[in-house]
Amino acid sequence: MTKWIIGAVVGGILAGYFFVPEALAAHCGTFITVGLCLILFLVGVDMGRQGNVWRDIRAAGFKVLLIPVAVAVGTIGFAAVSSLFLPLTAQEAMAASAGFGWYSLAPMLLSSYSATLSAVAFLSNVMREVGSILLIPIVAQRLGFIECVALPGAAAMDTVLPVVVGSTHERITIYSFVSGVILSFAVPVLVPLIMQL
Amino acid sequence: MQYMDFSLLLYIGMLAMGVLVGSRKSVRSRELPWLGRVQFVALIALIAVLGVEIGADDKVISSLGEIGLSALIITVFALAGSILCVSLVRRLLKLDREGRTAAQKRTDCEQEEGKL
Repeated sequence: MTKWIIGAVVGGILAGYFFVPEALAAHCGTFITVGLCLILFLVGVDMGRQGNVWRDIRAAGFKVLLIPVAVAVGTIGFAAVSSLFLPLTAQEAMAASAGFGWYSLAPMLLSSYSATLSAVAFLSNVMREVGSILLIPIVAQRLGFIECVALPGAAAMDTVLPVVVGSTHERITIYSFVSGVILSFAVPVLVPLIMQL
Repeated sequence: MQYMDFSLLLYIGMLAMGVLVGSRKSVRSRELPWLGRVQFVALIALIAVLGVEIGADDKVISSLGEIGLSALIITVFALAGSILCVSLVRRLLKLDREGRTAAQKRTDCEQEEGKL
């Protein structure tokens, strides 16, 4: 599983860079939406067959809301520390990290401050998505299933959701979904807020 | 992640539809060995396409040299920080490594025994 996932993402990036024409790459979004629908449907079937959906939702309860809060605190807090090693202020590093992997929105929110910061936000959030895909299978085995939800940030609700569920258990779907949704809504609030500090 | 619009509702809808179909007695009683396989193939294809989308984006490659290291350091710290905080919260909530409460673990074990 791990090998396949790493191979697919690395192979995809290389193919996109060297071979795939731009015209074709423009349609990736449609393919991703359709593929996600198929996978989510199948994950749903799995959940239904196990018959534990309601039990698992009830067990998760309000606890599930604490996960995205922990992700946000950990992300922004550690990004502030990372600025010690960077030609950026803590504020800038925090704002870039508050994209939580949503690499198209965070740079737009930051474009009015500086082009460089906007580019850093773009690239670091792309890296978060790729990095989370690469690390999830390892974190699932070594650290724990809920920890996997932390890695993709906002993308835990869509593009990286199948990776999380595939590497952990159907039970984690609700944690991943809820965390991703809340973090997604937090991005357009937190990024400007941090820049106003 | 690139966009958020009504696709969120679409995804929840697909998941819910799957749960409804999967809960049907006729589906539950049948063994569906291909289910996992189809899921796996679709997942690998999805990840590859995600990669293509990023690799084909000129902005990614062109900015890599200039600000690549800064972006990488922020990302590594952000990932480490979020794992650390979530791990603490998980322990606080008394969930095991597989994200189960003690009660869930018990019923899971009972279900396993029931199957044997």
